[in-house]
Amino acid sequence: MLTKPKRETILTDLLIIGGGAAGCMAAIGAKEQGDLDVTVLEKAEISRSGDIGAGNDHLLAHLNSGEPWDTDEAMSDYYSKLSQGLVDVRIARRLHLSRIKDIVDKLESYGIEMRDPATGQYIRTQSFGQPGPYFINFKGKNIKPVLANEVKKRGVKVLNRINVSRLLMNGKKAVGAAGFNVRNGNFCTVRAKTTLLATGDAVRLWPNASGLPFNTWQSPFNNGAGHAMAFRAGASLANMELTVNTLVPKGFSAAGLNAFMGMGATLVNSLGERYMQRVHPMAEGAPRYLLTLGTYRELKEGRGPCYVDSRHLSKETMDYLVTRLLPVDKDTFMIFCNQKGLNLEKDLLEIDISETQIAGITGSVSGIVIDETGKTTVDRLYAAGACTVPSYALSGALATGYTVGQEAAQVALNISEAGGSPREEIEKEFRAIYAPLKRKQGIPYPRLENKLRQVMADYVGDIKTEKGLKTGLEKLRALEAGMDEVKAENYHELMRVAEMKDLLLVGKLVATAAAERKESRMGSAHVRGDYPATDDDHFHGSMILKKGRGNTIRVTFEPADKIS
Amino acid sequence: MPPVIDEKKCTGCGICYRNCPGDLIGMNKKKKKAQVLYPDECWHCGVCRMDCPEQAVTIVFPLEML
Repeated sequence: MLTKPKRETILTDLLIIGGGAAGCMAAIGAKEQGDLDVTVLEKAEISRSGDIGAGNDHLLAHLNSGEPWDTDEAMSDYYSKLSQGLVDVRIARRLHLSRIKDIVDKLESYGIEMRDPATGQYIRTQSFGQPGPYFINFKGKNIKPVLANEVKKRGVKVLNRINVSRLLMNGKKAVGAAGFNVRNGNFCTVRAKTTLLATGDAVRLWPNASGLPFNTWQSPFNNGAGHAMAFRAGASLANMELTVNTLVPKGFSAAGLNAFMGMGATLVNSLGERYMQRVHPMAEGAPRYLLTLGTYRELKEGRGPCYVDSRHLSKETMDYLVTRLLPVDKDTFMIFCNQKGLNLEKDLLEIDISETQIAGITGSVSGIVIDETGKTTVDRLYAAGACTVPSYALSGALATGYTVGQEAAQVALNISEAGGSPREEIEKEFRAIYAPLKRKQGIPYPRLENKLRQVMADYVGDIKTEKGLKTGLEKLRALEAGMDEVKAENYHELMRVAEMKDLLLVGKLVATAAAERKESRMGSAHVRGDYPATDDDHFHGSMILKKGRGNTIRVTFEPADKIS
Repeated sequence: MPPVIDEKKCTGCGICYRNCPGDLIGMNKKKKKAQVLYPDECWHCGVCRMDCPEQAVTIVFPLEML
């Protein structure tokens, strides 16, 4: 028997939604601003949640060492080039790039081993089109428990296992959020002076080759909740059609590509030929979206399977790769290799293109629009990390988290009272959340979610067309109606249903923006079969998505020269 | 069946239940052991394996992934 949900109401100064890398640093940055109450609502357990919950081996960082490539300017240029001018670099510089060195020092002060203890130097490697070795390889297996501990030490209130489903509004101001505990079902409302979204990527929207939807590159538990909640609250989102994917071991959507490329492994097709020179002068050093596009072409043109070849690496490099990098970036990477019978010294590692996702990786340009203070286009609502436009990778999550946390705290300190939201709005959300538990009959949630991924793959997938996107949108709207029949047996399942509501909305945003972008851009990020070329004259800029009247999606185009 | 919990080694301490980012693990109250309830929703992140003080968790990759 399920326990009946109790109601809890919390009053705080700053509410942070999501306790991943960005949320933790936001809480730390906020607490430095003075005496204010900070609450983090986390869907999992803060010490092991988010994309880096199980560790990370590399941090994108420039360190101002005096080398010409090691400056704010050089990092800004690299970022501008990768993001094709679609991101306002002034915002990225203020919230992210100018803070990176400070973040590296902070991690070190928390006890994370950022340098090689033998030499006292950083171990730096180069990949993905970088002008210099921008990745610091570090010992990051326990980065998340360490960050969580720093958060707790500062007296931040952390509520674990809360799935947040709605922002609470007072007119046009955000005044907190509502959600439920996925273990005991309790309904939780938080009233806050400022609210900060740090919910990460939107994963699980597209299927992957293994047929296991939770076998994903970034965390499958990041369901685009922040994107969806921000949109419903009236905030602007940008470029949701410019999606990302990567190369992964065949069968296992694991992180690790940067480690292989950074240590000098190559990509070869079934004829044993290296193929990336045909795509980019830096070959395997090319940006990620070209590595996937190059591999996609090899597969489609009949030269697959494709492989990572690491057999030529020196013993020392190989040891470092298989002990310090791969199993830190993905704890189970070498376990997978063992169970597959792979020996990376002797065997080629077959690769595949991962499922698609909306992720905050280097050069990605999609997400919630924020200004130079991290504020969204909604009053008192802030956002940081992978769910925003100008943040990328772990360094972006940490740096924008920290900076935006400070900004949101400063604003909160100058607001005398949180303000309430209409009672009927909260009651409506309460009824909507628990409705799937009350249904005697209905569709089990995995079936509906699988259907969502099928529609995304069939019509909003690799190669898109006008007609396909129109069909896809019709099917997504039909699925939305089907949500009234979905059934959950317990609070865990209720969480998955709530996640699917967000995923479905994100899917609609992607399809709607993709239909408007009548060109192809950024390698595999957005390919239109009916508009195969990049059309800078008409589409060099951002698709801005905002809620229109009667729950419609309004799309406007903002040229890049207006952005930067 | 990605995480496989060895019932002989599991002491029921609940750390994997506390930390699993996907909320896939439950505590079997009768047996006082951790139990994988939603194996299909596993990310194969390895948190349960890493954090288990008894080394009772083995990650077994499903056939579709190998």
